[in-house]
Amino acid sequence: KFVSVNLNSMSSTCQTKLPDDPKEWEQLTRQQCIEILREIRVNPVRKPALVYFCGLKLLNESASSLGSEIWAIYEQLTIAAIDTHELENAAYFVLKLRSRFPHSQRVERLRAMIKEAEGNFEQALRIYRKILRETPCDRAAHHRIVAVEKARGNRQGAIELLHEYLKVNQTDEDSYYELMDLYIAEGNMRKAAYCCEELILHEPHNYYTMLKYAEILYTLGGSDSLKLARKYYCNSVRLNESTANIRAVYGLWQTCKAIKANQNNDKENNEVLAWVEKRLKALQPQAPDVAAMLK
Amino acid sequence: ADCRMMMMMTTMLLYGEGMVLDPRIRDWVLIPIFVVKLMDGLVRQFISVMLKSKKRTSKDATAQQNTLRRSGVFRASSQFVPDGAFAMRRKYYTTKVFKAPETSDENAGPQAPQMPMQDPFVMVDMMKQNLAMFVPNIVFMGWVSYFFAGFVLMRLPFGLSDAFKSMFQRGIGLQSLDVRYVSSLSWFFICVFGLRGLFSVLLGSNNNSDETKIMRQQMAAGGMQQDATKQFAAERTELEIAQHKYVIDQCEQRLVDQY
Repeated sequence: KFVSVNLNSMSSTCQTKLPDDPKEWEQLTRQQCIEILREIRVNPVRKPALVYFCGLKLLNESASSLGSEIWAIYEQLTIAAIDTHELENAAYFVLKLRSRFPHSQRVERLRAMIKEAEGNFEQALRIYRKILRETPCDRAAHHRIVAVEKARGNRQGAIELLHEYLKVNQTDEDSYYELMDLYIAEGNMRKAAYCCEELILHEPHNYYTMLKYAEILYTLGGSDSLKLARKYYCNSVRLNESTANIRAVYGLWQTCKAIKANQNNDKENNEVLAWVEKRLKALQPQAPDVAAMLK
Repeated sequence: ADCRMMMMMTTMLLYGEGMVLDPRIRDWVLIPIFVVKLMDGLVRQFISVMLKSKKRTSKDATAQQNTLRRSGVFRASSQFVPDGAFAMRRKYYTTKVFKAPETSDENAGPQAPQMPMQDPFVMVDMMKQNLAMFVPNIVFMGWVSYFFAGFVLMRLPFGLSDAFKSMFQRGIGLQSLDVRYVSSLSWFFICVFGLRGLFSVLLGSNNNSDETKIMRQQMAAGGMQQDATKQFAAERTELEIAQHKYVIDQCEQRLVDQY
């Protein structure tokens, strides 16, 4: 969850609406807090402030009546505390978890995450390697080691680690996503395109993956890539036509302009370009900045 | 004493009042068999929990299964990926990953890890375990048919056809007795099947007290763990005949036409 953006959170919708505005949080009842935390456990999104608030409220007011759910809440709270940099509280929660589950690897992982947040990367790595010695196929520990390398700025090391990991676990989408991000940061667009293709194969109807692939292709440049990029932008727009995906429309516009700069007479390109400009004008009330660029 | 009870029962039956059974039967047969079966299920569950060792998945096995899954995903969604990517992946899979053995030597193919179903020692071990699961049942059946034989235990609340008489009224020698009056062995079997539901409530749905379910699961698992070499060969042929149908090609046209 730390390393990669969870693709599910992009395309799925939550069952209960999570209150985004902090002003609403004061009015949350105990039952609502419990449901919010459950919802976040089932459909993971990263909202550390909300989780921290709800969790603390539950702990302060009605800890004993939560029963065995309190341990899951402690775990969520630990991660939220690390995210909001409340490290002492995080250490306290881990202590409680450890007293209940003394030999648990999950708790060890949380402890190592706190060390990471403090900056003690060596100690964190030691704990993760210990976990991996006991269970060599532990997905989360692998991910965290990659995250540590990334935090240290060692992108090459992180890439190599992910390669090793993916040799065995070839169907782990989150890892491909992370590898793609690393390659983009390195500037290695061909390999990023490869990772993105893997993601597309796994989730062919995800508009965001299509969008990312189109952007990588556009960055690669060259007329073949640009034509492919145009196709994938179109596909992304078709998959998600709302204004949340105006990024795809904008990207499509840029690609069409770039193709037009090379070949002014491509009829298909001109058609698509006309369509895009019409669409951007139509979207002006929702996205005035983008439409302003048309002029 | 037995005969006298039988005569009394038959006469009452003939008068159409239905049989009244001694309440001591309920106390000393019905409830003990039920309790014994319940304890048996609980003991099985706890023993299995104690004997369960941590699962160690071997890296090779997971790697091969994952490769197969990845190639399956590739074949399923290859229409969304451009031609170059499709060709490259297909070549990679058919030549490098699912390598055809150049010689006729079987070992040139991917080294199939020792799947449990093929390893002889592990097989014997599992068979012993399976046998051990049925032994308590056999013991109980013998116990019930020795101690609790020769009398009518209860009346079933539902009616059955006469064909079931031989099964349900094992120790009872009456020809004309209604099928609804059964012996204690049938109560034992009713407990075996009926307590499954109770165990799923008491112990959670994933309990080990039901031996037929466990057998079925093991058979299914054994069926899936085939030889990896064969699976690889199958995957290779699938890939070689796969064709690339590129869906994204007409995307732009469809977009412009749609709006």
